[in-house]
Amino acid sequence: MKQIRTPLFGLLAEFESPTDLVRAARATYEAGYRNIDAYSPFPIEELSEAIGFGHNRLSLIVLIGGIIGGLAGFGLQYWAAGITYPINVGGRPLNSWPAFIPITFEMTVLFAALAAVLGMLALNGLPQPYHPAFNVPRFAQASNDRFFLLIAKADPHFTHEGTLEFLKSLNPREVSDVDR
Amino acid sequence: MLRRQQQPHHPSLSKTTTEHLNATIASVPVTYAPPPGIARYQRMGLIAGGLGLVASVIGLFVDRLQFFHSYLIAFMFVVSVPIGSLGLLMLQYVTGGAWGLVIRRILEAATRVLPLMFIFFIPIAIGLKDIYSWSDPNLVKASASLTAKAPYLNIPFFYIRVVIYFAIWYLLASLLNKWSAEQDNQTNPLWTNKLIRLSGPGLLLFVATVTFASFDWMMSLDPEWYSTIYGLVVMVGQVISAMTFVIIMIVLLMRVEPMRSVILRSHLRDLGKLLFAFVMLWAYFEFSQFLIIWAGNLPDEIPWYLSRTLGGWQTVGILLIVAHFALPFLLLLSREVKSKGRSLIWIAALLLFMRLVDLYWNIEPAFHRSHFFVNWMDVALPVALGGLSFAWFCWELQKRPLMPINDPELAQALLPTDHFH
Repeated sequence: MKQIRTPLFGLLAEFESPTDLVRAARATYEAGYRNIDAYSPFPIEELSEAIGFGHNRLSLIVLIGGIIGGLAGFGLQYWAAGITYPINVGGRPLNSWPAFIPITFEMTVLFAALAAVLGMLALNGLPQPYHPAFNVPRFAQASNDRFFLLIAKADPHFTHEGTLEFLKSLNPREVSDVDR
Repeated sequence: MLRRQQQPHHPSLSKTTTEHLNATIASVPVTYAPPPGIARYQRMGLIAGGLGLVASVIGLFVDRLQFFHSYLIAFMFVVSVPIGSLGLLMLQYVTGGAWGLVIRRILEAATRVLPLMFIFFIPIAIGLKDIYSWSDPNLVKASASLTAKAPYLNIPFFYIRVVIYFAIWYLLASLLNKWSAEQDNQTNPLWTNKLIRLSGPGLLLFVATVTFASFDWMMSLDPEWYSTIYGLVVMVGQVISAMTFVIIMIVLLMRVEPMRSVILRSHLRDLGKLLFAFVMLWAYFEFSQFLIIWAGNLPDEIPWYLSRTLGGWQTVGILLIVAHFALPFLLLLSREVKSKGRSLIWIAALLLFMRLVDLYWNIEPAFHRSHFFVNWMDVALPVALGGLSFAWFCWELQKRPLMPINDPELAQALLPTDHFH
């Protein structure tokens, strides 16, 4: 059909329900495909597990961010109230740790939240203004009511015919070529 | 999880039930009948409670004063589960969600133990003069602050208030239980709506009564001391007691049908998240109270903390910070720990025990200010009251299906995905 052949990025299968997508994603992973991705209008808990997306380093980044924030918050107050500008307030100790806890807590939350957002962006590469999947017109439905599974050509198991047959065997609504 | 998803998730179609009903029609309604194992728990509770009771009665004749002191701790510990359950029951009607639906029958059965709690209050009413120093008229006369408080803190009004608290809790609990039973009998949404409409105002009444009850029963042990946040501190502790009790029951029940095919990882995780939130809320309230009193350092406020941070009591306080907050907080951060019944039940058990320690640290220093003190009755009485209440709870739990069978959101709550919150 196509007049001009553009380089292929992969194959995109469209599903009607989250259950179909999770089942297909799992079958795809079990068939040995690893360079796969799934798209859904809302988060599906089992999906990330189905495409073999395990733990990433984000939780560690958030933990480190929180610890740095907590230490910085307490340290700032200790440094200000205890070292550089010591004032006797009603006979309380200079290191009045109970009074330092609220700020320490706030700074822990602030730094953990910032680490979560920035770490997430660093790990997933967003914002991403262009992705080959956008070349499939029906992909716009991924933010509405359709569920998509993509197998990239870069996957070692990928062959155009074989992967097309495989995806069709998963009962998709439609399988499309994704141009680069 | 995939296996669950491929199988029909509705328990009526689960394997054992299907085999059982193969010959009959396909759409046999699910009964969610309580498993026979609950009767065994009931017997265990009865035996433990009976033994504890015998020991406690001996204790009453050996050392009457100590009996009443230990009794107050035991009562505050045991009553926290039904009262906290009443709050959670109304909370889950107001918020909705699968987590509330799967634990609703446990909460309901726990609130039906409230009449027993009223009976359990009788020894406190009898031993009032051995427990509360404001009941001594000479002491009241000697103190200007106690004289000013006398119109509120006096024996007859104390009794009246006890009756009012229990009447309000009993009214709320019996309406919630009655309408929920009606909901089981018919699919009419009227009952569901009534339950939701009662729960909003009910929660307001609940917070007010629990606040005043905690002032009466615990704060007035140090009658000159006051803290306006104390009611919330006690209330969130009661909710933690109820939450840990519910988690322990759910994990025990999900070993067998019918709850085995009902409870999903997502349900456990939601319960774990809530427990996590309540633990943080408890720490927040406790710290707010401490920070304000510590910073103010006023003579009518600071003695409460002085008697709880000297002579060995500070060790109990540090234990509370570590095992009632830091340890559960760090463990419950993990998603995996929250999703597994095996790990969640141990955290819940630890926290339930720490609830007793927290009440001990709140109450006992009022009688032993100078140094740490513990008596064998501080163990025997919680076992006695706890065992008997648990047996009563098990008896109540067996009366109804373990799930609200006609709740309009039941099918959605059993879906093995995270869409439903």
